Amino acid sequence: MVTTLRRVAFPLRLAAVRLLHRRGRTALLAAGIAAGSAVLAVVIGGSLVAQDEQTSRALARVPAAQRTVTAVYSDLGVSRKGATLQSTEPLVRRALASVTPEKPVPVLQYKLLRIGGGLVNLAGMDGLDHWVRLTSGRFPSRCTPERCEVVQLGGQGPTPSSPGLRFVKVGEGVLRSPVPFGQLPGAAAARIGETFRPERQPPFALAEGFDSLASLPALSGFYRTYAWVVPLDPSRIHPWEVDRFLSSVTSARATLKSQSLFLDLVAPSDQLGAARSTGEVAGRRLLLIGGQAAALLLAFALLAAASLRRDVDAAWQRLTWHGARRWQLLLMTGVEAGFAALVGGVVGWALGSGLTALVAERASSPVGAILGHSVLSWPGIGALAALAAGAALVVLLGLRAPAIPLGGRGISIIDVAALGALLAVLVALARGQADAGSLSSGATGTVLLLLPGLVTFVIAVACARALGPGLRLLERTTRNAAVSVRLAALSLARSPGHAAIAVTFLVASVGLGLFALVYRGTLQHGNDDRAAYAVPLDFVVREDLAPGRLVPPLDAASLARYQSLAPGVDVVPVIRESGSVGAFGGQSRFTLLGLPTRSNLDLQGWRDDFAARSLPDLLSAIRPSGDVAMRGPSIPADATAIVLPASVVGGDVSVQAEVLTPRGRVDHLDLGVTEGRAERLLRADLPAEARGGKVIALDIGRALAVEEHASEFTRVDGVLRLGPLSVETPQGRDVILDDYAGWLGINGVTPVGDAAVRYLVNEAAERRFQPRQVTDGTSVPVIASPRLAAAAGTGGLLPLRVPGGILRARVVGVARHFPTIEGDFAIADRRLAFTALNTSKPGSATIDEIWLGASGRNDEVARELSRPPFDVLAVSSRQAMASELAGDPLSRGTVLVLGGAALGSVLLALLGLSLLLAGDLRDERGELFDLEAQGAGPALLRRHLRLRGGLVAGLGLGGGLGAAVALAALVVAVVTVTANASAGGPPLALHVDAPLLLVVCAAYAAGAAALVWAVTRRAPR
Amino acid sequence: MSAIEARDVFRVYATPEGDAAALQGLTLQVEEREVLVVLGPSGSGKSTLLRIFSGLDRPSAGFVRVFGREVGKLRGRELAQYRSAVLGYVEQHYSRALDPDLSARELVGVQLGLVGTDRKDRERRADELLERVGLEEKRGSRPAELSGGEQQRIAVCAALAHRPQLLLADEPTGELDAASAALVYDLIGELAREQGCTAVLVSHDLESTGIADRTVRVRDGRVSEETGREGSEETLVVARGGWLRLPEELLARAGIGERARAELAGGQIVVRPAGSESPRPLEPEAAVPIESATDGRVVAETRAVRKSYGKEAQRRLVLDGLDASFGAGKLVAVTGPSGSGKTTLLHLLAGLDDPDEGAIVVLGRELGRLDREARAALRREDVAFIGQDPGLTPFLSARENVELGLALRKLPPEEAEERALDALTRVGLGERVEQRAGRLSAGERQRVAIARAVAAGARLLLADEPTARLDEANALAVGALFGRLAREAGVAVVVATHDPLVVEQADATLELGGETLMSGS
Repeated sequence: MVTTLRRVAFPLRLAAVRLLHRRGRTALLAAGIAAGSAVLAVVIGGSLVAQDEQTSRALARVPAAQRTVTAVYSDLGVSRKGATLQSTEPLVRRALASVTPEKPVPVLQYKLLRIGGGLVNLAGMDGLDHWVRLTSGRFPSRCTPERCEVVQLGGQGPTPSSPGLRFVKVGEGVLRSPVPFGQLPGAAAARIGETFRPERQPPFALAEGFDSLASLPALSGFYRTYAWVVPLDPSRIHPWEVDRFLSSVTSARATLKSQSLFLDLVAPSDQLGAARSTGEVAGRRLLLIGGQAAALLLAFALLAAASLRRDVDAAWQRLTWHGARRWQLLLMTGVEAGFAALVGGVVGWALGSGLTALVAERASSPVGAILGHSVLSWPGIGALAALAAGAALVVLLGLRAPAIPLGGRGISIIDVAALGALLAVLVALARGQADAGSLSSGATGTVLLLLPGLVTFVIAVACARALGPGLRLLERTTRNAAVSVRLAALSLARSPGHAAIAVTFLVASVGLGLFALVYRGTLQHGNDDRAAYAVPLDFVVREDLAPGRLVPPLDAASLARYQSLAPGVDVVPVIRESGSVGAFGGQSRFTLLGLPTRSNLDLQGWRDDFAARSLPDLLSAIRPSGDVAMRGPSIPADATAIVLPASVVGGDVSVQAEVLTPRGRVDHLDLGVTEGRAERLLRADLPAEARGGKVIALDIGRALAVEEHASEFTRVDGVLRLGPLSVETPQGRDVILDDYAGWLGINGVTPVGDAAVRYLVNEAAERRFQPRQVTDGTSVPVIASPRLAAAAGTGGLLPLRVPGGILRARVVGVARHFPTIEGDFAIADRRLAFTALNTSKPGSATIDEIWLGASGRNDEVARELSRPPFDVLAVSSRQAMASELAGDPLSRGTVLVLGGAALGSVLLALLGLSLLLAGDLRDERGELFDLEAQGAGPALLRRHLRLRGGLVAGLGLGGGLGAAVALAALVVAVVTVTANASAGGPPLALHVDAPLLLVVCAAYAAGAAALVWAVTRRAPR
Repeated sequence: MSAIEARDVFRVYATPEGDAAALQGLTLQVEEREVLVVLGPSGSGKSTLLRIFSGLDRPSAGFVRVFGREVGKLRGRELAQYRSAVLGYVEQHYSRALDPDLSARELVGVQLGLVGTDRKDRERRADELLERVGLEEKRGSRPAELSGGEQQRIAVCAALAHRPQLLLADEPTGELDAASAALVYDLIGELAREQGCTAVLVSHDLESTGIADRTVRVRDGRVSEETGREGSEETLVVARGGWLRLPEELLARAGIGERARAELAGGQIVVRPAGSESPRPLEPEAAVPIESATDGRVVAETRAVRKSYGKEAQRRLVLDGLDASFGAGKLVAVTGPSGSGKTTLLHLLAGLDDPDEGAIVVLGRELGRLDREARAALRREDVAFIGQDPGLTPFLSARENVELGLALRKLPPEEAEERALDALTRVGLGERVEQRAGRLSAGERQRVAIARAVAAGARLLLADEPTARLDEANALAVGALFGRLAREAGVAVVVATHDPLVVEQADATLELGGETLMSGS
């Protein structure tokens, strides 16, 4: 046993001696490993900082009123099935304590009270001076059974009182924060929240003291809601706490619900869950960089192994002569490699932790917790251990990997590993894309972690394999070249393995660095793409869907007004409809977009990869050849009423005129009801907006008398005889249509003669009599998404179900994506779509959006859009959106990490190059001495070494560039998530920022040249 | 039981030019405790034989048993066990054999350490051996602080520390001067006998036979001759199948060239030339003094040159006020024990190093006044240097290697090719000009390096131990070549050597170490 221990100890001692005498080389190896390790640590830590900021921002975006954990309980102030406030409150407090350690604020709010004939919103809480800012008077005292002082926060009218309880208003004020009443149900919450509108509301009275107000005998039996509110500080919940928080919310809610149906607990769980999910996606995507760092580290380890190989070979040979066992040799070399890997790994990890701490400090994240949950967590330390072990193993394999004979050639373990890596990449690609969904589920994490490393490894090994024959070829082709060139080629060909390892490392490091750069550019460009996709010109103006606003863009202002926002503004009115199409065994949703098809329409959000044809080409395919404006008798601008003489033979009907207003809306004007055979003058006043418009249809419906007793099966039929359609103007009555020839009847309406129609009216459909339109009997050419196009029948005909009915579309072009649209789509000419839809159902199509091109006057246009009459509209700005996307913490974090990784990789490449050059000089001292002895002067030696170094560096750069683009293309194809880790928008497109790439390549070349120059400054001897 | 029994051993290597047989049915038996010296020219297969004995290589056919173990079948643990328990191995390149990071005492104890011997026992044994070889004072020194002879003595101690049954030594004095070599031979012989171990020593140095119980010669991968203890007669060995290799000298004297006829005459086999064969001249050419064709003017000289190495306490003075001149048409052999400054002197004359004091003058130009570029130009024009390491590109042919050297000297390709072929023919490699350097034996590579220098047509030729890897015949031929170069072409040839065959050819000898002496004309 003792002997065995001594046999183990002896190689360890040899390893220690060797390490001691190779401090410089060990330090260099450790430095390389430290650099890779530091990058990995920063990626892991930085990712958590970004997630923390993301969580914090997501929570901050939740309105303050809802950013609380609130337990609510409602009763009538009397015992209900044994449950009282007194018995419920401890339960509630315990439940809240399990979610958050903060103390809750108890709030009581009565349902709108009618007291003494007046209405009042009454609420109470403790510590009013903390929550209310007085504008007049003083804070109220606590309520007594007879008197309750209140402060009025809003509303109008006197504070009512009852004989048993007198309310006394002692002051007025405003709430400092909507938090206490944010989660309370009912109208009051909305009113006193952030959208509080005090006008025309009963007074809102707030009393001091939760308990005193709750126990007022006079209010016993009145419905009230108790709330215990804990405000959430956005900076207090961190990514690693989200799961625990959500599960404690669920658990507390279940506990409360199990006690009483009237108990509930609300918290912004959805927002937190979404933030966590997005953060996880970003974090996992950053694994790409982690994988890159790890790959780089291992590549450096391989390089170091190559530079140590000659020395280790000699040691193994010596010890083999002495009868050393294989395990003793492996132990010695393993300890040497492991020591450097461990020291490098730990130092790098410490450095990375320090950098993470700095980043966390700057992001105002808790430094200790960030480190404790990332690099210094058990998984983090495990990653470090795995990294060090992996690096040591790579060094060991690089030093001792035996060749496997195959078909007369030696296949090394590295080759086998490369084949395996290639297989893994292919399998990963075959399994599909890594989108936001799969990333958040974590299914693709391993693939992402390994992908850069695997791909780079395969490329590097392929380079290495090709390099040997390549260098021999180079040597042969330079036999008649200048002596220095010949010597450089010869020395490379003499040690192709060494050169191959050198070039392989440079390909890996430069490749990964440039990949980080290209991917960074791609993500940044992806942000711009995404903004441009959402806002194809500079601004998109649409109806604001917030309550109380709902003003269509053309109601807010005319097109001319939009035009006058700033000189040169390009105004593009757009129709947007949702519809469905019967295909694929069911109904499939799609978006119908009607937009101008003018040839100079320049959509920023359009990318050439969206379709095989160019946008102008596609637009020209759907552009109508002639006038497609809706036809109908024109209404003079000064007309005040519309008049139509009518009589029926049969059941009476009501008649409506559908008037297309100059702003593109359709007004339904009720002309009145017929009165049998006697001609009656049906008439309707023309609203101002309808004047100057066109009558595009006459609707025929059941008369009101019939309507009141109508059912599905009540039908009215007969013949309606129409007189000339006239308008009243200040000058008198003008006939605008006296001949209905060419008009069409729709749905049970059939023209009989020039001025009469037969009708059959029931509830099944609308009946109309309308002028023939240009779209009648034809189809509307559309650009369709591939799925919709696939659903089209012969001739590309595709019936689209839209709110106005069925639109007969004809697919004339296909595009994979179209700006502003997620999912399937059909794009039509706006005027044609307008006519077709409004023909099918008047009023079904209107201008929904205005796209604005600001002609470089973005600030001016934005300023104007924030003012009336545009301030009621929802305005999206491409520039603002791009800024917001770029400013997103995850996006910033990702871009920052990628930039850092690019810089680190290129620096590591230069460090590796210096290691190589120094190693070359050391290992080839004999050859260089021989050359000098043969008469080669220092200048020739320098030239030869510089050529050789330059060639290696150049091959590394060329290979690295190719590897970077290939890797970036692959990653972009596989990982579809954007910079801020969200899905949606156009797919990421590879974007090579050529000038930046050129600058970095030039910097690398300059650095490499400087290194080569510095190392060979003194001619070697 | 024999210590070693090798029977019909073949070793064939696959090469791009086809298979090459290093051993061709070699049969050899070594008795226990016998000290056997194996002699043979370079490329004869003696190193291969030793590698097979040590388990570093395996026979392609035949078998080798060492103390009953069939070495060719040992694998993994058994092989390591065999090496650690049975073998002691002394390498020719002691610098490769000794770990530069360990002290002499640690180096001697390495093999013991690997088998788990206690540190005290290890050190006791190391001290005992170091004392035995006179290096007890150097026990704490590392290889870099020791001379070549000292290092090789430590290597011998390291090989014997664990009391092996079999000591294998491959050209153990290849890089040592004669005095150091003699010391090492004696040491091997004495220690092997003291330890009671069997020893097989491979060498091309006849001096090594002094310690041998038996000497065998290996030629063309077979044992051709055998000699017993001192005074016993050399016998030819008849190999299996009746193969018998007659000495070339006998054949030449008998006028036997490419064909012979053997007949039995009265119980003896008589071998006669067949057909019209006539005696060939002896190869290599014997050293025949040739009158110098030059005026004997000085090509290079050293003036009061001092040179030392190391720093402060470790400082070692190698040349102390050396005054020497080297004339055109003269071959000067620089001799002296290892560490006496032979290589240093050549480096100084080539302008590859600078003296601490004094001056070096080559062709009338004081090298100290020239920068490195000018010295390189001087070397290109007028100086050829042959280092201890041939410095060839392994994948280039012998011709291409020589041409590359000439390209460095800016010779046009056509002339370079012509000169390369001529020089290679002169060093006896006329038939191997297209062979890759990596496939040539160590001796052949050395001859390519000599050809490269000869082809340069320099006025000063410097050679550092050019025959260290050559067998006797080739060493003799190289010495003669240098002599002819000096006398016919008027080249000043300075050869650092410990090879008496070269020294014999020299016009003068410069002996370094101790009192510097220049003898001869």
